[in-house]
Amino acid sequence: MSDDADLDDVAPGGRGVDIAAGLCLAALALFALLWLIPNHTQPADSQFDVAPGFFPNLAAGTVLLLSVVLLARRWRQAPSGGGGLQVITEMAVWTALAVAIMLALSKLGFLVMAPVVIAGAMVFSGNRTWWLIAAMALVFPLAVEGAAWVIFTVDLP
Amino acid sequence: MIESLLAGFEAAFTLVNLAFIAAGVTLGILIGAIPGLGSVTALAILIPITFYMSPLPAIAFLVGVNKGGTSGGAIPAILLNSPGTPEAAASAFDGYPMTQRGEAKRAMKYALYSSVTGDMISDVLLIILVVPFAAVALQFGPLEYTAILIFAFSLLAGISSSSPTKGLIAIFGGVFLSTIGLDPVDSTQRMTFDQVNLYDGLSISAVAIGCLALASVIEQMFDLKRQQSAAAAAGQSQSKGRTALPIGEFFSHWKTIGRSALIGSGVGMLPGLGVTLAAFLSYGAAKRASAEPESFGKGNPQGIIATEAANSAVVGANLVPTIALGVPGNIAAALLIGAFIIHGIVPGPFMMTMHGELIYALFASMLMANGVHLVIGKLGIPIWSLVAKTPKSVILPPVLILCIVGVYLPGQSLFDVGVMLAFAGVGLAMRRTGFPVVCLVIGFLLGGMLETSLRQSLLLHKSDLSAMLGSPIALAFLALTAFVLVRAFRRAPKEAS
Amino acid sequence: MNTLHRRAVLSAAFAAAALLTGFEAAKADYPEKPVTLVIPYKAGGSTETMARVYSKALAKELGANVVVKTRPGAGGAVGASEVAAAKPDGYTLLFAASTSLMWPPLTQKVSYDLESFTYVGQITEYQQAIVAKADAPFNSMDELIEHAKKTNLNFADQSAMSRSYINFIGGQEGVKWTGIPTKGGGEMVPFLLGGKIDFAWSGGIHNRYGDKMKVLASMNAGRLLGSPDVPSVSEKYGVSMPSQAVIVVPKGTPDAVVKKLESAMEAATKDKAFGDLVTNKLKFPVKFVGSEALKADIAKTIEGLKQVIEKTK
Repeated sequence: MSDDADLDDVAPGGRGVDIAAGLCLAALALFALLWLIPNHTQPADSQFDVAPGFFPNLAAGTVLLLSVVLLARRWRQAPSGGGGLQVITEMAVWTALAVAIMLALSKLGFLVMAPVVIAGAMVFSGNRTWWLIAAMALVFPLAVEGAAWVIFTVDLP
Repeated sequence: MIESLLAGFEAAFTLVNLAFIAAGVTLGILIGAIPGLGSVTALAILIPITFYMSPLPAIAFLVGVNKGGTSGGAIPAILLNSPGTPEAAASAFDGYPMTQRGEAKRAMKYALYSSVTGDMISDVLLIILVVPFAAVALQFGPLEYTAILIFAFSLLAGISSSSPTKGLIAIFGGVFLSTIGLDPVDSTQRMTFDQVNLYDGLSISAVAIGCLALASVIEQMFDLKRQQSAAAAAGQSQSKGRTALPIGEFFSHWKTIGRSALIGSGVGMLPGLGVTLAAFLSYGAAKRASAEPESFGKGNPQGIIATEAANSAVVGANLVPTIALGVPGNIAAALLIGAFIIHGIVPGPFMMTMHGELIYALFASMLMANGVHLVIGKLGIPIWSLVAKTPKSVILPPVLILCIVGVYLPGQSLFDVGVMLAFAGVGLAMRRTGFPVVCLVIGFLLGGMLETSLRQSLLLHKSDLSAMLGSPIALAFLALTAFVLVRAFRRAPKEAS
Repeated sequence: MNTLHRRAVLSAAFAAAALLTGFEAAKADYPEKPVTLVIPYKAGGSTETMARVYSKALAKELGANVVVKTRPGAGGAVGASEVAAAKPDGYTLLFAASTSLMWPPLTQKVSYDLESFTYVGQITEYQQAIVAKADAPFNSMDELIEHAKKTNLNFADQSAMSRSYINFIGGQEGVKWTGIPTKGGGEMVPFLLGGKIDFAWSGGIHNRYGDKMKVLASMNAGRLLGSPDVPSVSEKYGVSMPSQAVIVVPKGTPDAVVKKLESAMEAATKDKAFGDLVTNKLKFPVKFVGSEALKADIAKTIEGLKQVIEKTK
């Protein structure tokens, strides 16, 4: 699994990417520590208990500390790797797609969303066998919808 | 006991019963293979079907579902790097690299054999331990759970050793996410923004399926897109790897098998810890115990064995507290309790005395179900391996849809679908930047449990944690924690470079 | 299953039309399409189990399919919000513990309030109690309070509401005890039997433990089915916990529809399979209460609840 792949000899996460990630994480952690947690948790009910904000603070604080460590270690290294742009493009594409899926699912329903997504995703991943695309896009969603009803008695949206 | 068990076999060994077990196992595997749906959903959905059946076939059927559902999640994990259930996540670490080497069938056999063996060991333990167990289980209170969870953190912090800093960041990120929702003690709002769907916190299955399964699917689709210019993506160049797995070779890993089954059984017997924790703990332990830990994550079959033997071992063992105390070992067992009650069997301290015959028939059915599981699983392997041969561009899009449907079905919540899609983005970003996704899930899973039991302990002992010293069980786990940490630090200089 | 499926497909086909005309249609000849019964809890719990069996009986009486839909989350508030926002045409019902309709709107920010629903009827009562281990040094609520005056006791609650009620009693008696939150009966039982806590709130699970646990008080308005000799907290403190398992519809549902549902519910409550399940297996009393009487019960419960919330703030 790519998670366990060696950091330094595989493209993802070169120096630049790590520094950017470290900065993002540090910013997120600061945001959580300074605004989110103080404004969105209440004090403890019992004198014996820690406050509801204790664990969030602990976690966000550790993330802040560790991202600074990451930054510091990466800063000293020679520049290496690239691929930062690729991450950003992919995230942008996925964000747009996810929003589209959610909108289509809630406004138009599963039977409209699924065929479009399947056909689109198949073309995207390089499939050009048109009859297969059409068949998958039509048969699969219907089969899933039917199975969801018969086995689970759930109406998909 | 042997006599009762034989009588149980006599009652359970009928064609009807076998047929129901087989149906249960098959349905369980199918449902478990769908991302987002595991044995819990499978049980919840199939229990109403059993309302009008007679008790033994009904319960045998559900036991089959539970066993099949727990092992089914490994199939997409191995074939597509997209685990069907959180508890199968660690099977993807080594299963998918094996598939890439063309050893998909071998990997699935490893998973199946481990599941069945782990299950068998845990069933035997269940039958032996169910009576004396009740007294032991009652020793475990919040304090002991806190110690166990601290130990789990120490063991799992290093599960992804390539970049310890990034692993720890991901773990604590997960812990942070687990604190969203109503406070577990005070029930006050905590980062919920008055959004009622967040009151129970983020759904573990939405988070896990999003960043483990769906993120992997879209990552592979992006990779396919990039490869298109280089090569026509019509077929994968599947190298021919080994497909056979002689039984002797499987059992040459007996140490891992035994250790994993025991970890799974142990976790299963303690109410509330859950299947996923068992699987990760066992994976972490196997990696630590291995002479070559760096081979884990690159297709070492022991990674599959550790995960699958442990998660299946939970299935039998979690019936121990169910039968001995009437207390469910985990959600799946809680559902089984519901089913027991429907069929007029009252789980609890009187279950053995009042329904002894039925319980032994149930034990017999469980043992029989393991055999059935092996047969059905083996029949399924050639069918599943077709998936590995089909071009990715045909397989991945439907899996994407299945992830969405699988997360929607249990709670019929579009909110959960949204959470999953968002975490697919998080998972993708983490994969691309070298942050271990699985650490995020572990942090999420353990964070919530640790917070609850730690705060229960604080309340119970009036903030006086020196009460730990009075609990031998807690002390033992803290000692284990210290041992693990010391060993980790000794090894650390090697990877600090 | 098959006919159910066919009907669903049919109903889906008419869904668009029904959206436009649903309201009028409801008045004319209710019900003419499947009715959805929303359960705001996880599948497999006792309420969901009960609802599954009850839905079959209700379907027979209504002459239409009843589709069970689980919508768990936030102690029932997610499902309740959904039903409160549904079209008030009698085709979306909520089967819930009355707690889920009262506690969230009184203490949390949710999108419905006490007036959002019309109560159609009560089906049964949850058997809520204060329980202790059989060998505990107290045998009644009074002895428990005496004991609590000497030492600081720990108790297991299962929700913010159960803790509030127990703390309310403590406040009335001038004793202080510490609530330990547990996730349901499955966690409470080992804590109690293992001696980690002194007493506990139980939502009915104690019925399974026979002489290993003893009931100190009923938390319901009346006494419990399994322990008729033990007094209810309402007898001494004048408040009791919401215990009704009810079916409600969104406010604004036409009276004729509510009437029809009410009589179908009453008939369905007499169903054999349902009665057997609830009385003999889940150990709840089948206790149908019609719309009007239930409204009065609920009003009284809410009054007590408000008092408890006020005092334990």
